[in-house]
Amino acid sequence: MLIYLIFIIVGVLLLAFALLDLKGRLKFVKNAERSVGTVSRVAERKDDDGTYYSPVFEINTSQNETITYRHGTSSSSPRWQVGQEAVFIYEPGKPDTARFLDYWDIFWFPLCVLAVAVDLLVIGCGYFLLRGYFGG
Amino acid sequence: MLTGVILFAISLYKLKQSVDFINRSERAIGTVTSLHEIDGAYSPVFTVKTKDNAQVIYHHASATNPSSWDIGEEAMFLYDPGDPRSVAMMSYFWLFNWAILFMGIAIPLIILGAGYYMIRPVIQMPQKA
Repeated sequence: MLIYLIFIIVGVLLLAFALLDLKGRLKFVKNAERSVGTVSRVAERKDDDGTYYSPVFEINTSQNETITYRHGTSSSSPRWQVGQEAVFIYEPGKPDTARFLDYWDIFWFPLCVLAVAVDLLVIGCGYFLLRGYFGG
Repeated sequence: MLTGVILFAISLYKLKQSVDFINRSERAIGTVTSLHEIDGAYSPVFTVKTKDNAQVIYHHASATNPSSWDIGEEAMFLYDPGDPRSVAMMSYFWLFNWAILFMGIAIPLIILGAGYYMIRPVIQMPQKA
């Protein structure tokens, strides 16, 4: 029984954390600026397993500044070519907040935490709701 | 999201099946009579005595090392009187395992899928006038 109580407590904490984080990201998406970035070069990184490529974007902001954004994910074959474009979102004056304007890229973290939280709550609450059937 | 909704429906169906099984079942005590070794882990084998003195052998699906069960230990089981081989251990997980499993997969799929459709309008590039 204790384990299901822990599921509920952890679930509630994760739910609160996920909703707060989601709220912050929605606020960011509503207020931040959007710009098109262009791949200026493809960075190479070599290690024992081979060569990995990650695109480096130049994003021209509405304040005529240029943000350089290096994509965090590398791949073993170049998926991006110089000159290709993508849409970015960023807070004006905060170049480190730049990221792809993409549902998964922005919201994966709070939604995954939310999913884990709801799973824990359903399994935990299920135990107490159904205990009459198995005498727990 | 569609997969999530289908799995959610299957989970509810499995939940109903489990509740129906419990409602028509009889209780019986099972005793660990041996431990079955699988790749260095041990799963208990129970002998469950039904109401009409028949004995049903139940191989538990969970194996651990060291064994969580000792020979001679007892546990409560449920079985359908019309089908004595339908023995299930009387615990939350072992009675509702399929409902829990399908629900556990369905919820993340529904959240991620529904989230996409709810959030998509705010992540569009603004239309130029």
